[in-house]
Amino acid sequence: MNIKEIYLDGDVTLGVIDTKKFKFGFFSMNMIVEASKQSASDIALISRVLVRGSEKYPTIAEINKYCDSLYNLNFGFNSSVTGDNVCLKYTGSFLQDAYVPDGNTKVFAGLMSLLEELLFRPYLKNGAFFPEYVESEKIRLKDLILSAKNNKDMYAFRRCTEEMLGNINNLGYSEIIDKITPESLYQAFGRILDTAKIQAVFAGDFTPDTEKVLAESLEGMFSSRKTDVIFNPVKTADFVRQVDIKEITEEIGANQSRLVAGYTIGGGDEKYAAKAVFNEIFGGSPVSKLFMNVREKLHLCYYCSSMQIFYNGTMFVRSGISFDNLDKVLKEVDLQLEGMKDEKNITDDDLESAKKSLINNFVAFGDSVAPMGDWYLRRKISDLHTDLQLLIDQISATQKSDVSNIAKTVQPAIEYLLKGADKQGD
Amino acid sequence: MKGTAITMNINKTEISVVKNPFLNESYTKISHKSGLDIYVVTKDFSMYYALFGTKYGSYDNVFRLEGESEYTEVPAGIAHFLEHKMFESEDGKDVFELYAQTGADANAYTSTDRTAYLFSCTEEFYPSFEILLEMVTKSHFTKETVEKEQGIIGEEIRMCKDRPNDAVYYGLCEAMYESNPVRIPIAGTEQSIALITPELLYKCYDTFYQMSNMALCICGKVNVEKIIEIADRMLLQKPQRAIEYKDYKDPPKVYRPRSVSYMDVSKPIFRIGVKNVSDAPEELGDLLCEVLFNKSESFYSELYENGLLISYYSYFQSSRSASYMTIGGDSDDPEKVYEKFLEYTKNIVENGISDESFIRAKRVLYAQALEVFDSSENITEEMLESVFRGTDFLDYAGLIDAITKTQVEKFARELFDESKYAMSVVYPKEMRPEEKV
Repeated sequence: MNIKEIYLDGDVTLGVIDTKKFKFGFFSMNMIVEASKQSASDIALISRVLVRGSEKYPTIAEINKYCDSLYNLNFGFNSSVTGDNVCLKYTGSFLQDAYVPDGNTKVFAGLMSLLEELLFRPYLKNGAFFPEYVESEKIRLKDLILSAKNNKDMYAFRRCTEEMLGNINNLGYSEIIDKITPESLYQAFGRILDTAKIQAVFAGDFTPDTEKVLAESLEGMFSSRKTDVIFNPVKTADFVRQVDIKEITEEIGANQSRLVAGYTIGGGDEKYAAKAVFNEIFGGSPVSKLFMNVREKLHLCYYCSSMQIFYNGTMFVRSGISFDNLDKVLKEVDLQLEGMKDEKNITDDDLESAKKSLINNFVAFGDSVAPMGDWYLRRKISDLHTDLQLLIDQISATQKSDVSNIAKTVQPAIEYLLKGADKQGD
Repeated sequence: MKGTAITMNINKTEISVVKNPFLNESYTKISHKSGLDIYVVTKDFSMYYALFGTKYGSYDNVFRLEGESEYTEVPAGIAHFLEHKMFESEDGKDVFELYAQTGADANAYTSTDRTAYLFSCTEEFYPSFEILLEMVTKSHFTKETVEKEQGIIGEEIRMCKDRPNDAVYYGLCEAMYESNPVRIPIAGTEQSIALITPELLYKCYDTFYQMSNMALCICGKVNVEKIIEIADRMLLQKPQRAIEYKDYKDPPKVYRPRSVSYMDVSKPIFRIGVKNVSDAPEELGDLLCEVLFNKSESFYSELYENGLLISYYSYFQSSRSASYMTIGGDSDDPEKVYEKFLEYTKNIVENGISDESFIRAKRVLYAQALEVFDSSENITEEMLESVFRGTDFLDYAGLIDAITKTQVEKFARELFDESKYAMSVVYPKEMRPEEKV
């Protein structure tokens, strides 16, 4: 996967992945500002208000009709928080012009034209966002925040990370959303347009026409920005944080209990490969230590897995269990983690299959436009290299000692339990 | 837009190559002597993907083989249970460990009308392919391994019972169907899986895992002759017996119009279903659904602008087990949404659809049909679906193109009748009548 970077006026970085393999292309753009509860709330609301209407397409129906007429032009805004940054993210996928039956409709140009329309000619009243759209989306956004508890697995994970890290919710906060007005929101939006770091990616057939449309659109939108852009890349934690160990139990109306155990894990981005291999062996696959022991050998659960948030040096073990089995599960997780600190407990098969599986996933990035594009943007927000082959080579070179050294850095931080009723039967 | 086929012979095995020049796509069908049909799509992707499916799902609880006088009835959840057990080999080794050596990612799933085993890899495709054929064509079940799995699947059932979207879906099935097994969760219940024995597993395996009842779909840069060579070596030729599936003879009307339950959710979650027992082809249902219920149409936009919708989806389902059109989402007032649905469908039946909506819907479905070809996983899934349905997946875009507005309006008049409508709602538990103050 070769990525060419283009730097455009207005402090816009554009990654281009030129590929003719696909019928659909992909474009995504992050507008990045510093995260706070206020900015996260503003951006979550802006992402919803922008798609309600614009000068040319004043209603949601008209926007959707425009997209459908462009052969299911798929687009959206959303908000995401990474480290100390919050993004207003635009994502679109489009049928490439070579596959349009009438031969005339320029779908990608339509996508960029829509982006410009929505960003720079939103539907306003008295110089601010249309009040009815703002008020109705405030209600929906608060409903969305409350609906987090509908998915018990995700809810347990979110609560654990909130308690452990105090991280900011990408959907914002109801008490802040309540105070947002159409005027304050429009002003916040103006500041984002002026000062956000803009990182974009295009994946698809990069023809001269496409290049022209992209450059003219992006420079047309941002080249006149006068204010200095403020951007602090998300730094990968390279130290083991000292956190107070917490044990938290909450009850919720669920049949099954959810355990989320949080840990800190050392090593900066140069340790990415070793950490990834460690995670794969420990709990990242159906042949991992956790899966084979907690589920297959001891039959204590349907799932028990681990995952890492690489940039902030954390790892989480997640399992759906009966409350009665909690101590047994924790004991086995500890045993397996302890075991990995000695490289004698990592077999050749463990190491090679983990490396093969990870490399499999990275190589497969080239088979789909969206994952390619998303991976690039995730690396860019942390100002990290985007050389996929380098990462693959580092994974190949990982040794058992690298893995056990990572295991030795792992420190427990929190045990979060979402306690269910553990009801038997129907 | 239709494809063309060329047939030939390689080592006494019949091969057909089907091409659709308009889409610039093709596939090869291998009619293997074991009775298995193998479909290969050659694509320049790094990832190889293989999907080995059987026409057997949670719907198939009552069946008999050709020559048997009595029907066999099996406990709910056994198709899914069998899927889990297929990952254990006779020597006790977990199949995932074998795949780990080749670097392949493996998985499986059971739906109402099929079970499928799959792997994906970027190298060592043929060794992984052999693992797939070996695991699906061999069976080994013991009392001990069955008991172990009952504990694991028991936890899976409990996990699924916490999912509001599962609850609203099964609530709708219970409302639409009186006896059709789609109303029972695919994994069964903790009581039903306790009744599963090795003998019942063997019965189901021997019945449904015959090669003539299965299909294998592959996407990647594979060599067809090599696939045939491996199949010749690993797939036995055995007598195939026809399977008689029970026909539940669903009546056109729904069993009851409402299903209501209460869970720990923040807002009511609803699903409206329109039961379909006609033989209308899938593409006609897809197009009607798109014309009426996609987000550019007035049904969605009016509900959204009036604050009656928080989230929303719609689709037409057509499978061996059940066929229906459905819309769903979150709403503060599902009954109001239902009222609007009644008004809207009545208006469509009386006044028809607009040309603009019809043209837009066709463009959307055409694009969706093409998007399938950008993913090896989607290609194999759509291919397997088409094979089991008896259609050709290269034809879908052309079939959509050929449908007329008159045909869509006629299907709407046949389908939209209130006796065929049901709604399932999962309300927040605070709204349960006895918990109200």
